[in-house]
Amino acid sequence: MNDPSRIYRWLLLVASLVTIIYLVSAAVHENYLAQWKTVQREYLTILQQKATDDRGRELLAKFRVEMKQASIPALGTVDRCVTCHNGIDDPRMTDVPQPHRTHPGHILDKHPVDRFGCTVCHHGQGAALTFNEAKAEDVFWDYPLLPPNMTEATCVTCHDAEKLPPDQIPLLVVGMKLYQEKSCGSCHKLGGRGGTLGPALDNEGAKSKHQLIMTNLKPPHTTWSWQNAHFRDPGGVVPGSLMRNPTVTRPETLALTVYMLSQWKRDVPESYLAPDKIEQKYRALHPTPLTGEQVYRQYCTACHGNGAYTRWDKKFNRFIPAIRGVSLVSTASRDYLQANIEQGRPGTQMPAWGPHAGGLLPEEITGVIEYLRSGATAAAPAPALTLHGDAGNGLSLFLRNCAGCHGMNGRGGMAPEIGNPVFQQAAPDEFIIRTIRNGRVGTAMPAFQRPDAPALGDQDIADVLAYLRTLDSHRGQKAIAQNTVTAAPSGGKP
Amino acid sequence: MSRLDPPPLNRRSFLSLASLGSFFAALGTAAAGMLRLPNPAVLPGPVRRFKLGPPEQFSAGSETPFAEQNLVLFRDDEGFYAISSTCTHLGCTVARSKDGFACPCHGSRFDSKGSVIGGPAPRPLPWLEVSRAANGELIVNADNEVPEGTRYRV
Repeated sequence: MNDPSRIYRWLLLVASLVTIIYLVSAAVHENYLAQWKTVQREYLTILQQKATDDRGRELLAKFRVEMKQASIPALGTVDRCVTCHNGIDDPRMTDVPQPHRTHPGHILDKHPVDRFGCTVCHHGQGAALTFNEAKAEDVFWDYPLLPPNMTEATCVTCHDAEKLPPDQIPLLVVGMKLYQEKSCGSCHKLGGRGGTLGPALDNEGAKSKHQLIMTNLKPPHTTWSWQNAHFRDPGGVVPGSLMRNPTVTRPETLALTVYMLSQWKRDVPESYLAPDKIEQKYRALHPTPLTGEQVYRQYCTACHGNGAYTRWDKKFNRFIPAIRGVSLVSTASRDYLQANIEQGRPGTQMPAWGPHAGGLLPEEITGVIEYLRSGATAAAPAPALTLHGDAGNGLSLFLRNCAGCHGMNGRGGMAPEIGNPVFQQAAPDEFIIRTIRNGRVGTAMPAFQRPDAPALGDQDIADVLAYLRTLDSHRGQKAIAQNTVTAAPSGGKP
Repeated sequence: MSRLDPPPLNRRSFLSLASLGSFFAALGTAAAGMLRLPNPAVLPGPVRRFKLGPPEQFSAGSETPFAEQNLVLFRDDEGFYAISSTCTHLGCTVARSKDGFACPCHGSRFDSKGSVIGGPAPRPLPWLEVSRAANGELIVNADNEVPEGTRYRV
C-alpha cells in the first residue's frame, strides 16, 4: 500500500505552489505596488480634483500611469525623478504634499526639466525609481542627492557666482567671502593662485566620498558632512593635518562647505553656459592685479597674521617671522624681500609665490612689498664692515649664540633656516650684520650688540658672517676654504 | 455507473494531477515573466516633447520654425499645428520654399500642408501632436503623429 512515488508527488506539488505564490507576489509587487505606480495613482486623484477647467481636464485626459524620464544626452544624464515628481512644473500643485508639489521658486522657468533634467543641479541617482535609491547615500553612488540648502553649490557649473543674484545663493556668497577673509589661499591653490601647504581646491566638489578619510566621522558619510566636520576640526577628521581650526561659526561652516562643493570644473556643453560664465573663463586668463593689502590678506595672513609680531606655530613647530616688523622692513632691501616672496624659503613652510609657482602677478608682488614696507621708513645705511671674518671662529660663536634657535649648520629649528639658498643669495651682508647687531623687534631674535651689553664685537660679527656664508650649499666646501684663507691674515680683535 | 463515465478519481491520482498541474502552472508563470523582459518599460532616447512658449507669443497666421527641434509651428484661424521638418526620405532637414517645403538633399518637395508634390519622399511630412503644459506653454510631442488637418485650439 505504501507507494514510494507519493512523497515525490507531494514534493512537486508543494514546490510548484511555493514557486507560483512567489512569482505572483513578485508580479503584483512590481506591477501594482511599485512605489512610483502608487505615487502616480495618487497624482491621478489629485489631477481629478483639480480638473475644474478645460486645461485641467485636458491634462487629466493626457495623464498615463507610466515611467517618465528626462533623458539629456548633452549632459549625459537620464533622470526619472519626474516619474514621481509629476507636478514639478504644474503651477497648480503648490498646495499638495510631496512628491507631487511644484518646484519652488521660478527656477524651472529658465531651466526646464526637458532640457536640464534634475541631477545636474541636485545630484543623486537619476535612473532610480524609489526615493532611497535616488538619494543614493550608500557606497555605490559617487554624488548622492544634495540637501536642499546646499543645492546652490551647483549653480556655478554654468553661472559666474559673482553675477548671480545674492539672494539666490546666500551660502555661496558667504563662503566666497570667508575664503578670502580666512586667507585660505595662504595654503591652498584655487585657479592657479595660492600656497602649496594644502591641496589645491579646484576640483574639491568633484571628489567622491572614497577620496576622503571617513574613519573619524559619524555617519552619514557624505562629502558635505565630511567638509562640514573638517571645517570645524581639521585635525580631528584628518590626523596629522597641518590645517589650523578656521574659527568659524556653524552657519559659516555650512557656507564654506557649499563653496567647496561648488568647486567643480564640470564639463558641460557651451550651449548650457550662461554668458557670464564664458566671460568669467576668459577673465581668469587675464586676471586684474589685486592691491598689495588685498594680496597680503588673502595669501599671507593665515600664517603671518598681521605681520607685526612673530608667532610660535604649534603645528609647524617653529616661529613664523614678523614680516611687517619695523626692524625687518627698515633694513631688508626690496630685492631681498622680492627674492624671498618669489622663490619662497626652501626648508620652511614658506612657498614660492612667483608667477610660475604661487601664481601672484609681478605687479602684485611689487604691491605686497610696498604694503610690507608701509609700516616703517628705511633705516640709514650702516657703515660697511671692512673686517675680514674667520669662519672657524665664527663657527664656535655660532654654536654658542645662534644654533640654539637657528639649528646646527643653520638648518633651522624654531627660528628661520639661515642656511637656505634663497636667503644666502638674497640677503646682503649689511642686512645680516644689522640684524645680528640690533636684533628683530617683536621676535625672539635678540640684539647682540646692545650698548649696555655688547655680547659680540664687530670682529665677532664678521666671523659669524664669514661662517654663515659657508652655509650656502651652492658655494660648497671650496667657499669655506676660501673664506678661511682670506680671513686668516687679518685675524685678531679690532 | 456506465462504462462511458470516467473512472472515479481516487486520492492518489488527484495528487498526481494536482502536482503536475501546479508544476506546469509555475513554469507558465515564470515563462510569462521572462517574456516581458525584452520589452523595455522606458526607452533610453532623448526627450522629444518640446515646450515652445506661451500661445500668446504666436500671432494668428504666423509660422515659426524651430531649428533645434526640427519642426515648424503654424497658427491659423482654426488653431495651432506643427509640421516636422525632417524629410521622410532620408532624414535631411527640409527648408521652407515658396510653395511649401523643399529638401536640399534629394530634391523632395512638399506643399505647405506637408503633402508630397515631387521627389523621392515616400510619405508626407508628419503633423505632430500639439498640447499645452500645466503652466500654459505649448507643447509639441514629436513622438506622436496626428492626422493631417488636426488643429489645436487654445
